[in-house]
Amino acid sequence: MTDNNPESTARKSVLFLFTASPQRGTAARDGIDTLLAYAAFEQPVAVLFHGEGIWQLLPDQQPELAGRKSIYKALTALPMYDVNHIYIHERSLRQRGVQPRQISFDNAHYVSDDDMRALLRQHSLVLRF
Amino acid sequence: MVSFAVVVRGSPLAGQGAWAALRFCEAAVAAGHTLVRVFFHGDGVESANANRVLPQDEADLLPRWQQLHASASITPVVCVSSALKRGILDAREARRSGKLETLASFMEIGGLGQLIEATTMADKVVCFHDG
Repeated sequence: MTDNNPESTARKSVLFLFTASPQRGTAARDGIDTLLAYAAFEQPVAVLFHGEGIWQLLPDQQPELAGRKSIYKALTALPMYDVNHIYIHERSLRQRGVQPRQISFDNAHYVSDDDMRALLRQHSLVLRF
Repeated sequence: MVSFAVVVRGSPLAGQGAWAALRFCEAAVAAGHTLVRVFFHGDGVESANANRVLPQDEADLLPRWQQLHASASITPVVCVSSALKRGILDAREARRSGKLETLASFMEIGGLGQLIEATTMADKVVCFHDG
């Protein structure tokens, strides 16, 4: 899975680091669109929600009240694109008073600071949004 | 020598991302490295707007990108979905929507496939953000 060899150009593992709250600018939307594009091109991808990015994971948002489109709906499509490596930084949740039970991503893994460091190391490329 | 793919997500009027990206690219070329692609994404596409009019005492980065285009044959690619929603249109998109062409003439509009291709090919990928 891990590929740190720059000579091997065919497939690089890409870690998408989602750090933007869903209503701030277009970063969250850009991130998901880019992630789905990489997945559609059959690149090995994983996604890690960190910091303000964890707000993307809460269901029952009403972004249309602010004239915006739902990020959450796009996230629920991830398994359909075979994006199965979904990580959530646990401390980011705790810092914001969000409980894991409020999040309904069955296949997500909760990760510690050490796990996060390992993920950042393991992937050949990190794209932050 | 290293080949780079550069992703610009910072707006020229927000943080330092847009300018840092430009100066990085200039420095990389000057040092003999290769730029596989410069890809403007998100608010970064605002750098590609040829219709920005700046006060005389404020620096404009577009002539510097054009210089890089001329000297190093770099044609920056501007993400289509980011560009259209910010009014950055090439001739074709302008015709299609009945609006004005605003994309800098030496840049081109492209899709995320071009970002994927570039990050696959390049030795290193460097992204420039505002925050």
